[in-house]
Amino acid sequence: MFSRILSGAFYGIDSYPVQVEVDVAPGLPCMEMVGCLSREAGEAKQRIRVALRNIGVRMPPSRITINLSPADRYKSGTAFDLPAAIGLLVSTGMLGQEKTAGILFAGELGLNGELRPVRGILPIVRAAAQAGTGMCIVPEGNGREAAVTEGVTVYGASHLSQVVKGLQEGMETAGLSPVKAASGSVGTDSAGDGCPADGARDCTAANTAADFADVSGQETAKRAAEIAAAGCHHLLLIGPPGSGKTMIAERIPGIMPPLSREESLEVSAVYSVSGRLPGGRLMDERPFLAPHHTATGASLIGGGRIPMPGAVSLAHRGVLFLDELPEFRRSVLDMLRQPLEERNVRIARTYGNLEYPAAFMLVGAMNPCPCGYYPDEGLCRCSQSEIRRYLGRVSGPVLDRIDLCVETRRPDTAKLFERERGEDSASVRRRVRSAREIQKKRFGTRMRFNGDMHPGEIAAYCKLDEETQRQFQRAAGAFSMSMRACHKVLRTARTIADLAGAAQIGLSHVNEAVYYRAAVSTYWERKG
Amino acid sequence: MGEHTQKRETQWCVRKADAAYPQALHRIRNAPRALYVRGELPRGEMPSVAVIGARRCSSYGREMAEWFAGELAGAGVQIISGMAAGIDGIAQRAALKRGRSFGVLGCGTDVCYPAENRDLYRQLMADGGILSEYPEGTPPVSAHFPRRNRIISGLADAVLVIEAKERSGTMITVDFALEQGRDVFALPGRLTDALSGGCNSLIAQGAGIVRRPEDILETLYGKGKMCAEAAGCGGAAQCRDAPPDTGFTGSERIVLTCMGDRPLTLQELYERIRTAEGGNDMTLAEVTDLLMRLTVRGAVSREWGNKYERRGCHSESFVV
Repeated sequence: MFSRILSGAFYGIDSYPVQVEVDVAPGLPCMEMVGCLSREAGEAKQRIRVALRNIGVRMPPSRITINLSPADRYKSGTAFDLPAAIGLLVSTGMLGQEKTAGILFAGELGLNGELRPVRGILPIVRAAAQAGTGMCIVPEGNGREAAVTEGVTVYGASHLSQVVKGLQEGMETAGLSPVKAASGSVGTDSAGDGCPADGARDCTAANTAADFADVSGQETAKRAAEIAAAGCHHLLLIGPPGSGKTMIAERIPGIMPPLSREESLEVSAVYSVSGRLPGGRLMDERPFLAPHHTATGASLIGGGRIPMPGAVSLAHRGVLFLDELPEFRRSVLDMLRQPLEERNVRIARTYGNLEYPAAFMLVGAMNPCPCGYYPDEGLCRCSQSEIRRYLGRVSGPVLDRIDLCVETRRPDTAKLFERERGEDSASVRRRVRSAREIQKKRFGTRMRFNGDMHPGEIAAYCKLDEETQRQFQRAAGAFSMSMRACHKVLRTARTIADLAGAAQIGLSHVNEAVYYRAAVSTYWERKG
Repeated sequence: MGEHTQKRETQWCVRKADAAYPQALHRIRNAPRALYVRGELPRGEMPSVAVIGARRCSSYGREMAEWFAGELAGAGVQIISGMAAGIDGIAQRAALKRGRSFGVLGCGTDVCYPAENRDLYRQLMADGGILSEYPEGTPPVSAHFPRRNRIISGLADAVLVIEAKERSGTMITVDFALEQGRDVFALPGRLTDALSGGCNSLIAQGAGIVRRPEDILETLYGKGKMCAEAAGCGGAAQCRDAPPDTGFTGSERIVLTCMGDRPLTLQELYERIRTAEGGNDMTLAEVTDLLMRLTVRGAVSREWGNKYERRGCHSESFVV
C-alpha cells in the first residue's frame, strides 16, 4: 500500500517541501530508501526499523520502498526519520492516511524511538506555513523554534509512540499540547530600552555581563565604537597588547539595540540551519563572533559539500571581531570583500548556489607593530621595515572598507584602581537607538544603515552647505583622501549628525568623521 | 636631455690611483680601493658636510634636518649622507632643493635601498651622485652599512648629528669622524628624549653645539667670511615659513596650549584638556572638531601613529 507524508528540507536558509512516499508491497523482505540522499539520510532505514520494533510495532515481511520527492534534489540531515516512520505505519495500515493529512513531520529517531532535535526547523516550518500547512509535529527540542512561525499549530513530541498515540487517539490523550510561541524573548520594536523580559539571555553569554562601564578612560575608542554601532560602520582598533581592544569589541553588541523580531528571525534561521540555536529558542542577543586568526576561508565564509554558514553569516546583524588582523591569512581576509560589499555570501556548488545573509559589523583589532609597542620608542624593538611588513599584511581591500580607526592605550596601572567607572552600556545604547530610529525613517527599514549608503544616497542624504563643503575639501586635501575615503567620511558624518539629532550635517560632524577615517592613512601611508 | 640622463645613470669607477679620486679619502684609514659612482663625485673645492641621524626620527628631527641641510646646501655646501630612511633621506631631499647632495650606499649603486627612496635615488643621480665601494648588484647586507659610514665621514669636512640614540649606527659614523679628525656637530635635544641621547652625550664630550646653520658655516668658511649666498641667510626666524596667523578662538588656544611639547594622540590630548584651565567642559567631539580645524589650517601637523603635534613650536617666532 502506498502513503505520502509531508516533510521539509532546507538548502542554505531556504526551505522546500519534501514528500516522503512509502510503498509496502509483497516481495522479498527488504527496505530501500531513494531520492538523492546523503549518507545520514539514507541510514534512516536502520533507525526506523529498530525504533519501530522497540516501540512494539511488528513489520510484516514485505518489500518496502521509501522515496523522498523531489527526488533530484540532494537531501541531507536526519529530519526524514519521523515522516518515513509514520509513512510506514500508514502504508502497513496501522494508521489511517487521513490522520496525517496536512501535517508536517520532521525529526530524528533514536533506536529506542525517542525524538531528537534536528537542524533547520525554523526555515522548514516557515516554508510549510507559507504553503498553507496548519500543523507540525517536531521533536520537543525544536518545539519553541518551530512555534515562532505564526499560523501553525506546533506539537513538540519526545517519543515516536507519543506521536503515534496522538495521531490515533487525539493529541491531548497523548499528553501533547500546542507549543506556545515564547513571547517577550525577542526585543519587539516598541520595547522601551529593549531588555528582554524573561531573563532568558544567556545564549551569547559573555557579552551580556560585559558593560561599557568597565572600560575606564579610552574615550576616543568608546566614541568610535558608539558611532560605528549607530550607523553600522566597520571599525578598526589599533593598540598595544593589553590596551583593551578585545574588551571594547566584546561590548559593542551590548550598545546596539536588541534584535527586532524581524532581525531575530533572520539570525535564528542561520543558527537553526547550523544547529546552533541555544535551547531551541530564538536568538535574542546580537551575535558576537570572534574567529581565531588561523581560520580557514570555509570557516569564515561558509563551506562544506552542502555549505554550512560561516562566521560572517553567524555574525549576521551582529559583530564579527577579527583580533590580530595582520595574522589572518591574506587570502582569507580577501574573501571578506564580497560579503562586506553585498552584505550576503554566495557560495556556488554543483547542487546549486547558496546565499547566506552576512550583514555584520566588522571590528578589527591589531597591534601597531609586531611587538605591539610602536610608536613608544622606549618599548618597541621593531625595525622600520618589520613594521612596514607587518602593517602590509592587512590587505588593502579590507582597509578600504574600514570607516573608523582608533587607537587604544594601555591605562596607567596607578589609575586602574582609582578611576571612576565610565558610562554604562544602557545609556550609550539609548543614543545609538535614537540614531537608528532616524535611519529607519530615512531608509524606511530597520535593515539598512548609514554605513550601507551607496553614492546616490550619499548625494541625497549627506548634503553639505557651501562653507562646510569648502572646509571638507580642504581637509580631504590635507589628508590626501581618495574619493572612496570621502564617501566614507560623509557616511560617518551622517551618523554623527544623527547621534547629535541634527538634520543637517555640520562642519563639526564632518571634522570628527575625517579624524576617524584619516587615522587609517597615518598607519598605511608611504613615508618619504 | 635623454642622452644626458643616460650618461649620468651609467656607473663609472674611480680607483685610488686615479687623479679624480677624492683627496679627502686619501687621508683616512682603510680608504676604499675603488669607488663606483653614478652621477658625480663631490667636488674637492667645495665644502662638504655629512648630515646624519636616526632612521626613526621625531618631528623635531625632521624639521631640523630640513632646515640645516637646506640652509647649508643653499650656502654652497655639499651634503653627504647615506640615503637611508629618516634623517638621512630628509636632509638629502631638503639639500637637493637648494644645492647638491651625495649618497653613499652600503650596496651596489644599481640597488636602491630602501626602495621607498627611489625618488631621492634618481634625484641624487641628477644633482649629485650615488657612491659605493661595492660593485653593481651587491645586495644591501647589514654588515656593509657600518663600513660605508667611514666613507660618509671621510668625504665630509664636518659631521652634523641631528638625532641619534646613544647606541646607533649614527654613533658609529661619529666614531669614524673623530678618528679621521673631522669636526663633529650635534644638535641639542631634550634630556628626556632617547632620540637626542646620542647628541647630548656628544655635546658633553665636547662636540660643537649648533643653534643655527651659520654655526657650521662659520667653521667651514671662517668667521665673517661666509660666501655671498650664505650671507643672505639670517637667523632661524627669517629662514622659516611665515608663521601662521594668530587669529585663534579661545577654545583653539586651549587646544594649542595643551599640545606644545610632543606629538599626542587624540586620547592623550583630550585627557590633558580635561585637566586644563577652561577645558574641563569640552566634549570629545568638540576636541576632535577643533583638532581637525587646526590641522586643516596648518597650525597642527600629524605624525605617524595618528599623533598630532603643534607645528613650528620649535621656532621662537610662533607664539600663541
